[in-house]
Amino acid sequence: MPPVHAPSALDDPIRLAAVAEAGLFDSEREDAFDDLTRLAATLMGAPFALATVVDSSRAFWKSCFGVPLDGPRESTADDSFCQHVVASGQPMVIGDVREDPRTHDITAIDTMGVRAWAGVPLLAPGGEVLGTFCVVDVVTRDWTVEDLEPLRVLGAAAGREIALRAAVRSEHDARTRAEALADTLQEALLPPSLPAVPGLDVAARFHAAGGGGQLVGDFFDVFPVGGGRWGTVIGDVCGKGVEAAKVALLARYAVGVAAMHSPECAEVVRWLNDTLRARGPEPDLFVTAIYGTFTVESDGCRVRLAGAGHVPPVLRRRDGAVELLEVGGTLAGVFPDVVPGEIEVRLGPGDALVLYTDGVVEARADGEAFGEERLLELVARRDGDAGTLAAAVVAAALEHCGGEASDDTAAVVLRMPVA
Amino acid sequence: MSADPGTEIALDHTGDTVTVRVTGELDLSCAARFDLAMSGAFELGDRWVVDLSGVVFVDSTGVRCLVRAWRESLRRGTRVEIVGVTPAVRRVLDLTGLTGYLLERPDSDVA
Repeated sequence: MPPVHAPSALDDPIRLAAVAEAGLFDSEREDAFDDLTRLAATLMGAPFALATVVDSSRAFWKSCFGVPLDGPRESTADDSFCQHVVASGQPMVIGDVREDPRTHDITAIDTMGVRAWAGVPLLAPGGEVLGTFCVVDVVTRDWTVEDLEPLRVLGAAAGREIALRAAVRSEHDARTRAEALADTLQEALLPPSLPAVPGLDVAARFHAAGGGGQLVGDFFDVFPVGGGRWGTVIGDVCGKGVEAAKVALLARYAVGVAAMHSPECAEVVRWLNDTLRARGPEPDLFVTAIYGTFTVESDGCRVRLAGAGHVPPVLRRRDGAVELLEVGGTLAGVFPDVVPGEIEVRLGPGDALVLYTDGVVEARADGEAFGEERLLELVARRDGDAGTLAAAVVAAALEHCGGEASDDTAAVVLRMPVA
Repeated sequence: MSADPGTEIALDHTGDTVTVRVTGELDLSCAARFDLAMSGAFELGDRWVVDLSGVVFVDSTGVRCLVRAWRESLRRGTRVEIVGVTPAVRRVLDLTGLTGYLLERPDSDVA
């Protein structure tokens, strides 16, 4: 039986135009994609991970972790696993490719020993399916839902990389597109709203350097990590522009993926450091970050934080007492074998934890930085919900430097409501 | 006369030791000049000192400059010596976890 294919989807002219626009066909291997496939293969314990682009006749392997440098970099489209993802636009997971009618006679089963395949669509900025982001194993696998989550987030990161390039490449309307993309990226790095956490008041505020429209280097999020626990991350890439945004995305995804695999905050921070260091021998851009987990209980919230050289959060007790939490650790992406700083606190009713980026304390007027003292005074004075407190921190820093922030400024607040 | 005092970066070459002395704020506004001064220092001598005793403020860009200088000095086989660390600078190095890396001396407290 010939492979089941769907020529209509492969030949869709809009899709083919998007493939051409992406400009990835027959291009060299690049770190931006190789970082992501390496991460996918490592996380999923698979020997191969690929980012592919498929036109009407060929499946080109833009990145192919595990394939030797002089190895193959493509197959024909109708002899590929990817064609089915392109046709359906949906993820495809096959535990034993020899048993599946869609894939049982694909040549790579013999030539590369492929036994298991899992992939998600690789999307163009306009949503067209360019190809796949996939992992390949040489033994049969019972893929789990946990396996697919890293693929989904890393595949999305690969898609954003493509979107980033599309924006940067375009000459005639580069600025407009870069600004549109900055907004898209900003949503990936700085979600416009945080999820509702039962029993806890969480809020974030952000002000972009120079009033916006630029690529940001700050990121934060709050997300469930399973078992009733939540994770939160805040981080800051030293630097600005495209490179900083790429590093911020990689850092954000590394933390998100690691958080699903380890309940230990310090382990997640170590993973962040290793991921950033794996970018290459000359990682000029570093990241400071705090990753924390928290569990909301009836009478309080237990928070564990692990740090990578990030500015210290402020703990505000209900009565207005404030302290800096010196989480410690070393900035991520430069040194091997860093030891993350760790701290644990308990938020009682009315207590709040304020996480922020260095744009807050480094905001300057006439050479004088806003600084930790002013921040502590401000937080001590300011009672109210998480949103009010986060907004007050960002506004005060902005006001201090006369409304013209030279750095991104972010604040995330977790506050235990008064029962 | 400008109200902005600016940041001064001076290069002092004595024997085989080159000292880069920063006075003012080590931040984005002078990062490129600092990097340039360090490049010069690396070409001129075999031992390097960064004197920060006149630094009143350092931001993340300044930290990046110091890490870059430190890394390049190690690549050349001799760790750059960072001296005159003011409390403001020390605070930033402590927070970023760099104190142990950047200020560690091969022979500590040998005057």
